[in-house]
Amino acid sequence: MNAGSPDDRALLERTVGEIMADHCPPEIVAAAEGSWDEPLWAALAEAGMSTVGVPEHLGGSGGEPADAAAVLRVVAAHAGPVPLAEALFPVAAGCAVSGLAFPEGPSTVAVGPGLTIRRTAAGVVLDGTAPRVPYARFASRILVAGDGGGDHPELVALLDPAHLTLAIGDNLAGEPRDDLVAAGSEISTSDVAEVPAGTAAQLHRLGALARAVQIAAALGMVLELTVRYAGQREQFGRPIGRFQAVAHQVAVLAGLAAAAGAAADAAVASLSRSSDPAGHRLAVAAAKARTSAAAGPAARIAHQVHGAIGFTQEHRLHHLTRRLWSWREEFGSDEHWAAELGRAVLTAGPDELWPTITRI
Amino acid sequence: MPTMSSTTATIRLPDAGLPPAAEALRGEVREFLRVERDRGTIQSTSDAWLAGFDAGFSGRLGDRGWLGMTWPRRYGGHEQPSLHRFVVIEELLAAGAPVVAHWVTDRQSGPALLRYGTEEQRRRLLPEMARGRSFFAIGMSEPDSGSDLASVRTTARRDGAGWRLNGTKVWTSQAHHCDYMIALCRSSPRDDDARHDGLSQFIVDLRSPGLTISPIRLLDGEHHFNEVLLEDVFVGDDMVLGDVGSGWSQVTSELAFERSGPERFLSTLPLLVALVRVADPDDRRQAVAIGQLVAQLWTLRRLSVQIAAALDRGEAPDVAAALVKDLGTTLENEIIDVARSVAPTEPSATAADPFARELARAVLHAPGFTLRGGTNEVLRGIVARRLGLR
Repeated sequence: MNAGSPDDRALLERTVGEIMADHCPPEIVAAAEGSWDEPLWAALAEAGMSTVGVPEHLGGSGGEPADAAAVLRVVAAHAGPVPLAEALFPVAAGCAVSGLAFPEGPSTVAVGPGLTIRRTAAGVVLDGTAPRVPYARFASRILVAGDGGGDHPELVALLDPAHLTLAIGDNLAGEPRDDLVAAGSEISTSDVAEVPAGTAAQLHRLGALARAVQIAAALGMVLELTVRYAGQREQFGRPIGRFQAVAHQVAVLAGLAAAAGAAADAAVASLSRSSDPAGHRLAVAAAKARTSAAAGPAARIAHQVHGAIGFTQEHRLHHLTRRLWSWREEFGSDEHWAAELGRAVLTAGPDELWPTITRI
Repeated sequence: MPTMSSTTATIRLPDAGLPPAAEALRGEVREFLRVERDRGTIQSTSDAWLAGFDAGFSGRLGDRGWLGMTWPRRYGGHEQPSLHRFVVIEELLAAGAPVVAHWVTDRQSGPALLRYGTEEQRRRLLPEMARGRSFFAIGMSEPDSGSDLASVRTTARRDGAGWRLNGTKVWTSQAHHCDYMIALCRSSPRDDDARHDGLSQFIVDLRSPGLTISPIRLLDGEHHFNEVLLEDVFVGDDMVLGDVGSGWSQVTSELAFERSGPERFLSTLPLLVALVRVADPDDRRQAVAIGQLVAQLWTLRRLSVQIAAALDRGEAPDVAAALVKDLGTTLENEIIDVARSVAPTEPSATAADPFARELARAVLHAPGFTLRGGTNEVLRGIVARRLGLR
């Protein structure tokens, strides 16, 4: 695939949209809670959508980060219960930087300050805990990244979860989030590679970027559902959207959604500007901080407008709002990333504030 | 099942960056601003685009070719891309530079003349505007016409080869310094079934006989706004702007220029800069609060660049522009709240502490942020209507 132009991206979105329409109705999303939906993943993989943005020499479909984001956006807007965000951003980047082949099956990433990974004669020694690894128990491979420990170089490894200890858990939306627990265990693998220092932090950041894209997409769909409902639901003889108080709340929701979309898009674009890695780091921090901070107020408005029906299992709004309430915390909350951004801004000083904003 | 279709398309614009030539121009503007700062002409205070009147500064901008940048050369303009102008204005605003003298002239009066003016009007008026030597004011609002502009009552009555204007305009920024005001008047009697008809725009010389300008002071005593009383003021036919009776469509297109710019989220940037100066990088609470503001500011600027790029493509991103104004003015207020919480200081215009002075200025100017250029309530109504709700 030669993705890249806006037209190609529109085609990509249409392709994924058709797959989601066929394979991801609300019943499928509901049934996948506490699990995942393998047929959906297979359909996306079949169409090459699970490897968009992954370089072709690593087994991917090629394309730019913006193409991967376009695919992810459509899947997230439909609350697709598949580990695509993890594969398309952190796993793809981990493979690109290490030269490891991109896994064929569903893959995810385990990264965290509590994890060390070193190579020994017998294999790879993994120590510590990576909490709440997305879809770990259903992944064919987990890309593990962590501190090399002491003076050792930083390593990444592609591991089979069958050889790992997982403590099963889910997020608020029933998406699998398993703790990976390793107590100095040796894991036999050939899929291990040395990577530049800072790779683990970058993979965590790309997880945050992927969540920012997902949140923005979910907010777009939440707005869509809310506009539709406010236009159809009648009370006191007219659609509730005609009431100024309701209309203004929907306009506020539109603002939150528009800003989240712009922030996520800009952070994705920053990934392509390899000449400015510091700017990319700040852009992702700003995007995850903004999208995560928007998730709560936006979900509140959507539920308020939907009234009691939106609070039921029967209505599909919660497929998105429960994801928003989870995704805003994952790979670092708004507070986590605001702290990183704020520290950087304060350290650079007042004269650098505006130049930084125009650069990133 | 809904798809990501109509609603998303209404609010979503493609991500956009600025061309390298525009970024190169940014360096020139920053160097110019550094020199101006050294000569003491830039105080870097909040709301300088409402309050900082400095005709000399505007003249020097004109000399650099940074006014009327996009206008045709034959009218004294510079035929620069609109994204270059965007860079110049965002740099001026971010610096808190005194842009008031030329602000309305460059942003809306000039473009209105270009679009609706006669050839003679353009040749006579635009070159001095682009030089930063001739300044225009807006004559839309009236005592009983704020958000509801179609209710204006100032009348224009036929008189020989011209018109006689009678009525009162209010909130006329800098009328006491400006040369002309573009006044929206009722040129034929109001018809309740077609209340947008019968309005016309006139270019009024602010030194005309019968015209009285008196100050409407802001709550802190500053004088930017005026009441302009028109008593049988004569305006020749050669100073009618556009078509008689088309005033409504002309002003609504003019208001679109007023809504979309970065002035809608940068009014309190100088306070945020002052806050960064006093905050402690090792204090996590402060870092979080400031990081959240910077994340919003960055997001709004990116939205604003998207809008500028869409305008440059000839699109009319009115919903996105309304959203930026709503979000941006809310952020301008939030910067004040965070400043108060991070660096508790009693605001005072007379304090020795520059942070306390800056806070005072921002607090006292804040009520205007969510009013001017269309109240946030009016803007939310526009957004809701475009989403198909009202």
